[in-house]
Amino acid sequence: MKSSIFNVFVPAKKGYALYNTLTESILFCDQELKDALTTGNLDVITPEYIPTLKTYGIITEDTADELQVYQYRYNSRLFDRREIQFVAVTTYTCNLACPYCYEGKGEVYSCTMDSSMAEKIVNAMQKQISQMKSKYCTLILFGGEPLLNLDVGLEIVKEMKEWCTSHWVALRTFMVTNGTLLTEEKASALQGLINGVQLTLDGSEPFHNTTRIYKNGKGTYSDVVSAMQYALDAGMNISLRVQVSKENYHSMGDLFTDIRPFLETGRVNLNIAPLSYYSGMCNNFSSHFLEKEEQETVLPAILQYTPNVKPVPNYLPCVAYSNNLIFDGAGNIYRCITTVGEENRVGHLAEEGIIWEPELYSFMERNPLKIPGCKTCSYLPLCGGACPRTAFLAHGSYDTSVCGGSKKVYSETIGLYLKRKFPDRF
Amino acid sequence: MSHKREGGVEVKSSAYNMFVPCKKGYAAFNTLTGSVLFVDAEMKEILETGQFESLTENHLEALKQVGFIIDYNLDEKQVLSYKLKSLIYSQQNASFSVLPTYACNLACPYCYEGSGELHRGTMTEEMVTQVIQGIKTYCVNAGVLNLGLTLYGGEPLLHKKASLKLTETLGEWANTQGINYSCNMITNGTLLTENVLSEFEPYLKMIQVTLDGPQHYHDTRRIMKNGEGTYESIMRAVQIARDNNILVMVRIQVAKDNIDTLDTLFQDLADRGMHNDQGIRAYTFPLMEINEVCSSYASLCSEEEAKMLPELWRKARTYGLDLFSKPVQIFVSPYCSFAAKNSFLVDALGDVYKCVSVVGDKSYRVACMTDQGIQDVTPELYAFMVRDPTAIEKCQSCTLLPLCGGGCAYRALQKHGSYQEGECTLHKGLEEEKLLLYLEKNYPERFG
Repeated sequence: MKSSIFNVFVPAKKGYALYNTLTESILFCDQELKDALTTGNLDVITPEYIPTLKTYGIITEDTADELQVYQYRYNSRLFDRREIQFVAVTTYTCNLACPYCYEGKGEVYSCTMDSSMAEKIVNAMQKQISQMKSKYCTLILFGGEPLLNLDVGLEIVKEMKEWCTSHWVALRTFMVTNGTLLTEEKASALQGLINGVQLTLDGSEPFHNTTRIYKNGKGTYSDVVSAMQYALDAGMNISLRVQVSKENYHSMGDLFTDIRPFLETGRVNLNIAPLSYYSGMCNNFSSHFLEKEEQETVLPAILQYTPNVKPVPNYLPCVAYSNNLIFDGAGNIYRCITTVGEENRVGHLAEEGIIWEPELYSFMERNPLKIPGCKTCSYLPLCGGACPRTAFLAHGSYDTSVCGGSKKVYSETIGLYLKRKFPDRF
Repeated sequence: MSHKREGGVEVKSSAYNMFVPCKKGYAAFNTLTGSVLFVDAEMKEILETGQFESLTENHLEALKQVGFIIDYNLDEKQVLSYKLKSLIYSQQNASFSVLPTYACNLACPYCYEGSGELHRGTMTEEMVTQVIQGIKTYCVNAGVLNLGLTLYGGEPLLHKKASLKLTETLGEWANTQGINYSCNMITNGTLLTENVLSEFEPYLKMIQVTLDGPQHYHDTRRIMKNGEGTYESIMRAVQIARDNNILVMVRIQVAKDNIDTLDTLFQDLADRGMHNDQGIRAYTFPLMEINEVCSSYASLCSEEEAKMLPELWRKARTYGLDLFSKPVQIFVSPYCSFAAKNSFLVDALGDVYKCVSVVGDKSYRVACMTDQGIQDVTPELYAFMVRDPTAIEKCQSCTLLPLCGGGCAYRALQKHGSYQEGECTLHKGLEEEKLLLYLEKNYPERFG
């Protein structure tokens, strides 16, 4: 027998909590067992414990190769076609001027989707669903600001709704919007068509109002907060993205005090993410992004505000690797949202249907087990090799990785999860 | 060699172009796309050297469409790997080969299962129920839309009760779930009567039987336990199946000492009209050493002798029999019927395997079938499943890789110690011949 390479230890009141990132098992152990497991000197373990430790994947047979298990699950997820997700970038234009925007604030790319392209995209979506025999479909309107081209967006939604209903496919629809145009009337017009919206806050009001700004520089905080209320009133659920930067992290407490009533509705799903370098266009703002050391301290500190910290082994690094396609108004197709508008698309729409480009294969064939460092990392099942885009920008290849502060963040997340689940043990 | 097109992207020749000489030039075949083109010597050279300067934009575009010329940035191994995994990891198709009993009423001397006398076991009633429940659970969890059941043995009709219960219960259940379902049976054919067949209706769609050669040879090898020959009873079974519109696969086993006798077999099959029946498909399979159980059989083909198959295919063609098919990509039909994630072989004890050659040898067991589905997965499953043909060193520059996928994984393990190795037997030399035969048949004006 040998120790699993995916064991993570968290100090507890007495001894340690032990979490396995591949099997999701949780055990509590003493110093002696921890030493045996970390040194691999398993002979000292009380024989009665062995079967239990084996069942929970804390130790494995000598012949077992856990990386093969990971690879198998990674491939299974990568090619799972039961669910499918489409993103329609209905316009690149935007009424905001966030300085870090990886799309260049709607001032670099300009293509707006027209009805005839929307029709072609709808056909392509339906063909994909039929081909893959998917049973669940998620459709996301994206931009730019999708409310600046809502008519075309809603054409897509309505056609997909009708088609999915008649083909026994469950459809959920979302819109990623800056919220500033989501008036009470607009929100109620979306009722029954859009199931949820994603809104973004850049920290508490004073900080948000320096970065999420109109073209004239005016802040948008109060408009976004109003939009949250309108969306909830219109029956939509909210995914709230809170972006963390060097400037705003100190004031997160204020933000969460301010938005507590919304969080208490149970219909606002919180998603805290560091502002990151996603394209050359974020360049002039990159000094605001958290450095590795800051990520390691700041992000764990913010975890306290997140209601759900359960670590989930997704095996894949992100949604770009699950069954999804992103279409823009020019008929370009992408896998990663931060690459939209750029030249290296994964495919495009032609008369005869989708034509795939070499980029599809180089992106999709990324294999975390070929990345030095990932192969020996206990957090691999949770992290999946981390953001391929960040890695590509840093090293010019997808077969690389940028860890940043993730190891520390994962370790703190596991710790917090266990502390909340077993408070008396800590 | 690369070529920069005017205003276009850089291009290069595919690494998977094959050329077969024919009348007035060459047939070009791309093993990754399956496209066929007829080219002259000049075009062949252009494709081989990558000197595209003399080609017009239209020509380049046309060659690109069919994959003989590709984007310079395209890594074709990535394409192959991506497409292969798309098929292997597809959730929607599942196939279970179930072995209701190891027992057999024949005593073929080469049997790798030991003629039902080495591995023993017959499904109990409880095990039948457990396997049925396990398959249902598995299908529901995986979101399966197409379910195939293959009855395997031993001889599945020696445990007809279990075979029937599996076939019917799963068929009725699949109907209620909107799952497409079909059942196949691999049988020696000796127990297949009109009555037996009707019991398996309407689910049984295909049977596979095996011939060892013409009657005079066959009846000395595929024999009952008392030594009696089985040729006539198998032919009867084929007739009965066809009368009931059930497809028949005829596996013709080639041994060292029956090659010269196969003419007589082909003649007999043709006399029986089998060459004109689209519902019968015959193919050859060389008897080779599979494991220690069969290794003492003296007439096994060596790898060298297996290379004689194309000669047999040609011979069979003179009788109107096609024993081969167009070379097909592994992402259409993988190198092994158990390569797919949702393909399993379940034996009479509920043990699950990924290869018929090792069935019954518990050291190769990949899991157990319980009423909760596939459980107690062993490291063997993962080692088998993560085989990546595009990463096998020996296969890196082989034009045949899209067709063979590294060959038989089990033979690779047996010969080279790992699934992550290439095994050329039955591919190198044979894929080329299959292609030639296919081309000759479909483009007769270009050949002969």
